[in-house]
Amino acid sequence: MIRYLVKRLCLFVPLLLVITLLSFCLVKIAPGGPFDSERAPLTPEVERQLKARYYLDEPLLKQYMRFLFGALQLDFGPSLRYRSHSVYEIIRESAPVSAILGLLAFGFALGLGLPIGFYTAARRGRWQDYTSSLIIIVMMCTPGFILAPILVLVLSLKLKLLPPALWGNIEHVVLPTIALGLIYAGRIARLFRGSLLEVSQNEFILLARAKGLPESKVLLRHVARLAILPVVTYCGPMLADLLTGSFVIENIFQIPGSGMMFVHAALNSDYTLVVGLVTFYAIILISLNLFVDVCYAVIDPRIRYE
Amino acid sequence: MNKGSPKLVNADQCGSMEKRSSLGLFLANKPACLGAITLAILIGIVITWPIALKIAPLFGQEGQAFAITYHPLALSDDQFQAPSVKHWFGTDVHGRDLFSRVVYGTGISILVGITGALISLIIGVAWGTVAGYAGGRIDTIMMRIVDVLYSMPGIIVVIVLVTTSERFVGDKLAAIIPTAKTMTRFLTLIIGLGAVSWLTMARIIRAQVLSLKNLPFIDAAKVLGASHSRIIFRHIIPNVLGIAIVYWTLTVPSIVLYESFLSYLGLGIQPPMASLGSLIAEGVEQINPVKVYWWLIVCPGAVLLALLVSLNLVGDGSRDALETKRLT
Amino acid sequence: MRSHRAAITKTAPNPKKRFRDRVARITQPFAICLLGTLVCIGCNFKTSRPDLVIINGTEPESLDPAIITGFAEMRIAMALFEGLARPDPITGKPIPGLAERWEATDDGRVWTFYLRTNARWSTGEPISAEDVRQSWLRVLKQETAANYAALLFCVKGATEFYYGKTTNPETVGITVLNPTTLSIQLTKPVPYFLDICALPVASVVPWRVIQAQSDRWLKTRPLPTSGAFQLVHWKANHSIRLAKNPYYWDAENTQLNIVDILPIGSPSTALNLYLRGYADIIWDKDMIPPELLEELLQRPDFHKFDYLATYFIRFNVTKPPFNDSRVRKAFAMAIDKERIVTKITRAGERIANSFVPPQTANYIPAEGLPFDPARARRLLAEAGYPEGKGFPVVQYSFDAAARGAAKLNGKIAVELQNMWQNTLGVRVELRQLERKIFFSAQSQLDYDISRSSWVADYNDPSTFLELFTSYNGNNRTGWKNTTYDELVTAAAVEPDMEKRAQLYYQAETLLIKEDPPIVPLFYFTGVNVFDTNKVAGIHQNVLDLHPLNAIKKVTFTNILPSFTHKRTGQP
Repeated sequence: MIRYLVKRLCLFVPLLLVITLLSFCLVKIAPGGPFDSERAPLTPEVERQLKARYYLDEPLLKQYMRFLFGALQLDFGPSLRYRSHSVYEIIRESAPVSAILGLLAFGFALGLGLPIGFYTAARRGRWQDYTSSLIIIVMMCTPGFILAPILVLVLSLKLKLLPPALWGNIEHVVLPTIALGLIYAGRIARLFRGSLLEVSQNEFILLARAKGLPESKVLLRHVARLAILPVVTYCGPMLADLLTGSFVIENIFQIPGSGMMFVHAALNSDYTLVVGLVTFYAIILISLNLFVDVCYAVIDPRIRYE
Repeated sequence: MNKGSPKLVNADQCGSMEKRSSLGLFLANKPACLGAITLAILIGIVITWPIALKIAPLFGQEGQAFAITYHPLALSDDQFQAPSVKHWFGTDVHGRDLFSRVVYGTGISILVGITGALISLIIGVAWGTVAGYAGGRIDTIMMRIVDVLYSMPGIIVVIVLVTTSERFVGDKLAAIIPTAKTMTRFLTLIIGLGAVSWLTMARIIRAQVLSLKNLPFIDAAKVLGASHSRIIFRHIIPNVLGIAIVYWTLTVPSIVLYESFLSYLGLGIQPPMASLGSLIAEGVEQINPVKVYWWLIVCPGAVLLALLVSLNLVGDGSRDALETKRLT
Repeated sequence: MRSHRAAITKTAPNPKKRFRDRVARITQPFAICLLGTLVCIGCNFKTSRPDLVIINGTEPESLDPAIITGFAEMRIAMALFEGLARPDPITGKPIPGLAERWEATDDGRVWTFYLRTNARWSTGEPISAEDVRQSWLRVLKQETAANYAALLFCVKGATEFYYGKTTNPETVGITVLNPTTLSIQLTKPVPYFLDICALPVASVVPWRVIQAQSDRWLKTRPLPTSGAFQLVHWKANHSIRLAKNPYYWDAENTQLNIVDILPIGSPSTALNLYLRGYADIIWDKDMIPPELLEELLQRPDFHKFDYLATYFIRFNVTKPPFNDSRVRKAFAMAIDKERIVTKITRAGERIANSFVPPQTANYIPAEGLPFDPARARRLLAEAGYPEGKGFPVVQYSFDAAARGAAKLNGKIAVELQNMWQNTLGVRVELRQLERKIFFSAQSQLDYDISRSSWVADYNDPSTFLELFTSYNGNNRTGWKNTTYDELVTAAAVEPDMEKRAQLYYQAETLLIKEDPPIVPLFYFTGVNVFDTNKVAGIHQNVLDLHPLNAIKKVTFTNILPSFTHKRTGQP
C-alpha cells in the first residue's frame, strides 16, 4: 500500500510537467497575441517593449524554462491581460470561490440525491417508484445552463426573492448551488437507488424481511451501509466534474471563480494565466484521483494494489 | 454500478430465464422503449424537416413561401414572436423561425454526439483490445497512460485545443475554402471531445478482452495457426463490439452535453450554424424582466432534455439487457 | 460517468463495526470540508455595504493612467488620479484640478501652472510640481509602453526624449519653478492643451512607488492616489472598491464614501442587476442589450446622449478595386444610412454626413457624400464595372461578439452587403473575425473593406482628422494624400481659430468627399442608466465624462435643490 502510494507520488511531478508543457506549447502556437486592441494598435516601440518585458521574444524552450523556474517559487508571472495582477494572486483569489461553490453543490447533491434515491428504492414497484425514477432521470439530464436562466427568471426576476448574479452573501449562493448540483443529485439518486436494490437482493436481507420489518426500515438499517459504497466511490469523480461543470455556472452568475477565469484566459490568449490555471487544475485532479484510489483501498481491504 | 457482479434478475423476469435475445430483454424494459421511441421521433423529425424544406419549392408559390419562412437562416422582420400557429416555437432576435433552427440544431448536436462518441469508440476499442490482448508490460504501460490521462482536466484540453486549432487554420485557408472555418471548428470539436471521452471505454474493453482471451475458442484458433491480427479482428473484436456499442450509446449523451457546454461558452459551434447549446446561449442572453422571451430557452432546452433523457434511457436499457443476457 | 477501477466482487459483508469505522473515516473528511466551507463562507462574506455600485463595463486591463486606452479603465483611473486640470462634471470642459490656476503667454507656447497648496496624496504628503513633472516624464519613457505618449509630444523636447535621441530629461520642456509652480513649454500653440491636461495620461501618479515596485505598483498598499478616491481592493473579475480620499483638496464636497465598481461581461446580467437594485448605475452602452434598447429608452432612468464618436467603414486603398476613388465613392453613395440607424442600431443615432461629429468644439464639419444610388451606379460604370459586371468579389471584415453591442457589427454587415448587392450589383462576402485577429488584420492591411469606429480623445477636430495623415499609425487604410497632410499639419500650428477651422474643413472635405478612404455611417449615442431619484450629479456631456466625486446619492437630507451646495468646479 505504501509502496503504491510512493509510486503514485513519484509520477505526480512528471505528469504535471507533461501537462504544463503541452498547454504551454498549445497556447503559444495560437496567433493573435494578448496585446492587440482597437483604440491604440501597437506602435512598433510599444510592442517591442511589451514583448521584451514579458519575455515573449525569447525562444519557446527558454520561456518554458523561465516559467518552470518561477513555478517552483509559486511565481507564475503576471497575467498578460490583467497586467497588474499576478497569476498566482488571481488563482489565490478565485480558487476559494470555486471551491466553496463546488463544495456547496456537492453537499446539495448528496443532501438531495440520497433521500430521493432511498425513497425511490423503498417504494419499489409502485407508482411512486416510476414517477420519482422519471424525476431522477430528468434531474440527471438537466444541465446547469438550462436550469440557471430559468431559475433566475422565476426566482430572481419574477418573484424577486434572490439576486440574479454575483457573489458575496448567503443569498448569492442559492441559485448557483442548485443549478450546479441538480444534475449530480440525479446521478447520486440513481446510483444509490440501484445500489440499494442490488444489495437488497442478498440473502441476509431476506432474513431481515422475514423478521417482519417494514421495507424502509430494512433498507435503512441494513442495506444502506453497504449500498452507500458506490456513492462514496463516485464522490471522487463527482468532485472533479463539479470543478469543470462550474465554468458555465460561473459565467452565467458572474461568479469570480477559477472557471470563469479560465474561459476568459482562453478567449484572451492570456498565456500565463492559462498555463497557471491548467497547472492548478491538474494538481487538483491528480490529488483527487490519488485520494479516491486510497479511499478504495481503505474501504475495502480486499483491494490490493501492486 | 459494480461490473461483473452477479445480478439477480427481479421477479418480473424470473419466469423467462430461458434464452431471450438482448432485443427481447430491451423491449421488456419499458423506460428504455419509451426512450427509443422518443429518440426515433427526434431523429425522424431531424431528417425529414430539411427534406421537406428542400422539396417545398417544387409545390409552387405556397411551397416557396413555406421554404423561405421556415428556413433557419432566413432573416425577417418578425422578431421575437411568441409561439403561434405560424411559428410553432416562435422566432428569435433576427426573425428566424425557432422551430426550424431547433431542428437543425438538434441535428448538429446529434451529429457531433454520434461522431464524437464514434471517435472515442474507435480509440477506446483499439486501445483496450491491444492492452488486453498483449498483456504483460504493454498492458501495464498502456493502462498507466490511461490513468495518467484521467488526471488531465478534459474540458480544459478541449477548450485550449479548439481555440488554438482554429487560429492555426487561420484566414488563409478560410480564404481558399469558404467553409473551412466552420468545418475546422466542427472537426476539432469532434476530435477533441472524442479524445477526452475514450478512457472509460478503453477500460471496459480491456476487461472484456482479458476475459475473452482465456476462452477455449481463442486457444483453438491459436492452435490452428491463426496470426494475432486475425485473432483480434475475427474473434475478439466481434465479441467486444456488443459491449462497445452499449457504451457508445452511453457516451453519446455525455458528448452532446459537453458540446452544449462549449457552445454555451461561445467556444463550440459558431453562427450561422447552430447547435442546441448555442441556441440556449442565445436564449439566455434574452433573460430580463422587461421582455420575457421564454420560448428562446424553453424550446431548445426541452428538446435537449428530451434528447438526453432518451439517449440515457436507451443506453441504460441496452446495458441492462446485455448484462442480463451475459449473466444468464 | 466513471466506473470503478477495480472490480469488487460482492460477498457477505464484513462485520458491521469495522465497516462502520471505515465509513466513518471516509465521512469525517467530508464533514470537516463542510465545516470548513461554512467558515469560509462566513469569512468571505463579511464586507461593508458600498454607497454606490456601478456597472462599468468589462474588467479593466490596468488602472495605470499612462497605459490605459479604454473608457472603462479611464473612468476609474480618473477617480484615482487627477492631473493639472479635470473635466467639469456638467460640460466636460477642462477646469482647474490639482492646479488652481494657470497662465499662458500670448503666443500660447509657455504655460505656467500654480498648484493648490492643499493638494495632497491619499497618504497625506503634499503633491509637488516635481511629482507632476516626473509623471509626465514617465509617459515619455519607452519602457512605460504608454499608448498615448503621442498626446504629450506637443511639449518641447518630448519627441526627441521619447525616441531616445537624448536621454537627458532636462531637455524636455517641463520646468519646476518652485514646489507649487510648474512651467511647460510647447513646440507650437495647442488650443486643446488644457483638454490634454485633463486626460488620464497627464495625471499625477506616485512615481516613487512606481520606481520601487514597477509593474506591481498598483498592488501596493497603501497606494498613494492624487484623485478624489483611493483604491481599497481590486479583485480581478470581481469588483474594484474605491474609498474617499480624505486628503483630496475637494474632499468636503465628495459625498460618496465607498464605491464598488463591477466588471460585468454580459449585458443581460447587467440589466438584471440594475433592475433588481443590486447596481445603481450602468454607464457603458455595451452593457445594455441592444435588442431591448428601443424599449428601454422609453424609461426615465435610461438617459440618452450624443457623444463624440463615429462609426465608419474603411477601404483598403492599396489594392484594386478600391484603389480607384470612383469605386469607393460609388460604394459610399449606395449606403442608405437612415435604414441602418432606424432598423438596426435603433438607439436614435444620427446619421453621419461627416467624419467629425457636429458638436466638436472649434469646428463646423464638412459635407460628405449623400445617399444617391443613381450616381453610385454611374460612377461604378465609369470605373469600368457597369452594373457590377466584372467586379471582383470583395470581403467586408468585421469583428463580432456573441453578446453585447458588437453583435450589431454583424447585422450592419449583412445590411451593407444587401445594399451593395441591390444597388450596385456587386458581391461582397462577409468575413467575421475574432476581435484581436480583426485588429491585427486591419493594421496589416489584410482586408478589402472593414468596419471601424473612433471615439474622440479630446474635444477638438484634430483628434479625428489626424488619424488619416499618412504618418499616423491609426490610418490603417494605406491612404496617402500629401494635400491632406499639408492641410492638417498647417492647421495644427495655426494660431487663428477661424483659419484653423477652415483648414480642417478643407482637409475633411478631401477625406470624405473628394478622395474618400472612409465612409462615416453614424454618430454613436451613449446611454447612461441611473435613477435620478436616487443618484444625482451625473450630467450628459459629449465627452461622456462623469467625475465620480460629483456624484451624490439622493437622500432625504439633500433633496434640497443643489444651489444650496457649494458648486464644485469653481476656480
